[in-house]
Amino acid sequence: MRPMENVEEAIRRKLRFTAASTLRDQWRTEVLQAQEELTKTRPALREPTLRSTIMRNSYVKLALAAVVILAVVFGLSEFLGTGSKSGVAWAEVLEKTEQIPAVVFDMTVEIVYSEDKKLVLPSKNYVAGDYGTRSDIFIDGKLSLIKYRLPSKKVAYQVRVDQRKYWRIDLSDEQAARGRDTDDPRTWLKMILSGDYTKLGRGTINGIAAEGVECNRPEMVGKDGVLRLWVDVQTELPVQIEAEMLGMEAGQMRQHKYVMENFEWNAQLDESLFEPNIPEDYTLGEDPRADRARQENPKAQPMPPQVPTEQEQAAQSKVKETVRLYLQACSGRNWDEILKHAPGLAKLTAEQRASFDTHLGGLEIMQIGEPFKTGASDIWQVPCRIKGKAQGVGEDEIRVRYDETLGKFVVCGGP
Amino acid sequence: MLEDEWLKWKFRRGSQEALARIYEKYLNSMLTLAMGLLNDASEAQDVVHDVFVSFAKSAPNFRLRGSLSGYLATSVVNRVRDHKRRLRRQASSRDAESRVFTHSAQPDQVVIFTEEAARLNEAVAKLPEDQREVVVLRLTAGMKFQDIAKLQQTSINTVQGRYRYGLSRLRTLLNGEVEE
Repeated sequence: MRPMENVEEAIRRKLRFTAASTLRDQWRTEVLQAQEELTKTRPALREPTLRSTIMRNSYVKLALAAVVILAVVFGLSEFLGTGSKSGVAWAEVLEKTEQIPAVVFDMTVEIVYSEDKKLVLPSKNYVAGDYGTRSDIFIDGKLSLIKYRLPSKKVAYQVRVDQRKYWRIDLSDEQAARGRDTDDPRTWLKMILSGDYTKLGRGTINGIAAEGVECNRPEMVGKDGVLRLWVDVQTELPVQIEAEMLGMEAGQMRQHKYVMENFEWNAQLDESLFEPNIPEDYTLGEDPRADRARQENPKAQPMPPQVPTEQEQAAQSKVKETVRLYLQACSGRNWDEILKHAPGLAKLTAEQRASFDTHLGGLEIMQIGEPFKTGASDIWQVPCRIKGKAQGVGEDEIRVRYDETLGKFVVCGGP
Repeated sequence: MLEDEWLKWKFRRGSQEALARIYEKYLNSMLTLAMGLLNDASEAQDVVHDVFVSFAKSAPNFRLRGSLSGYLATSVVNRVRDHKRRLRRQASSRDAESRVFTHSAQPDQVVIFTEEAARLNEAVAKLPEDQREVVVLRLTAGMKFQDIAKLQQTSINTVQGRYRYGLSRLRTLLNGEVEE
């Protein structure tokens, strides 16, 4: 016995627990079986490789041709399909989900800051037709934000558990009547299935055999965005919805990826789940707007773009045109034109104008993205790529709102 | 480290050999970590078993830039936290006696440990939860303070403070002596 000088060393060296060989072997079998079962339910993922190997070999090619001919002759062609079912009836998927009153699912938002730096925000989401929606968002494994959208009560709440603060957002009649937003997976589903899409074939999503489709809907995910939907081949209900797009985060355009999965369609949800029950010591945030809440804490989950209404879709081209004219005016240092499209800049001092000219004069418009809105905001966000005279190409965002007095769209934020 | 990068690469492509190697390589350290956090052999077994089975199933979506041991240790910690939350929920309906964590292994002795390991673990179990996590993650899983801070959602200074307090309390608990 001797005084323990170094507890660290003792724990490092002596705190050891070892699995007995019986346990180790039994678990090894179970773990490997879990992996094997996963592989068994993933035939389609391996098919392309197998097929290309087969087709490269001319003898196999001939043999395969003979088998196909024989199969047709004997009326066996249906057995050459990918499985017992002929495929997902895509048109029915949306219809089926529309009849389901409640769904629970997990969503992960991934924002890429650089190759090795990402912000990952997982959330648990509840949607019930009668009550509304609720999202529990976790930051670094802890519940940090709860979002409620309650159209029947014409109100939305954001509760920052980690800051003991909350925001109340009154929904307009139009917003409440819309009933559904991007927090409901059916909004995405509708968008994906509303136009052309590419079939991705079969794959396995979280251990479930599924069929997928992929598409781009610029109005929802921008020009270069991608939407993917995977549907369980047995139940014909979605198992995963993915969206990849560029979005504004911490002042820059960054790659965002949304993954909705682990759906529990037709979940039994109690009304109490949709009652905010905000503790008494929580303070009400000064500005109820969701985007303001985001500005206060850039780690808060960015709200995915809203699906534009028909009216908003019509406004999109006007918004884009406003941005184009504004940037052109900036490029030409034409202050009459700049102020026509961004009247708020009239407040700038001569010195500030000179600085503005130095930065934006002579700029070149590389690309103006599709305008979009987030959360309950009235502000349009327009992603842009511009080439400054002094700097290289940069990505920026210009904000546009409708000015009731002027009766037109005006730039209210941006470079 | 290089071996782990290779194992991650092979595992993502469905290699059973890679999974078996990962399992053999990290089973005991994850079991030690779970024991340190739970001080109950059967509960620690459940946690570690679930971590490896989930890990096996994660291959198609497996994307990991960080260390494999850190990833598995984080999985163990998260499962232990879930497990404790469940226990707390059930606590009202359970007899207080049955809630006491024990180090006793199952009758068939599936977890092997020395008396000294049990004694050290008993002492570790008496630390406040935050300190216990830091001490065990640092000393049995070799995790960096920076990564522990991320896991505990706190600053690196707080984590280092918890570590110092934890060790100091352990010295007292172990009565200033330990067998050679």
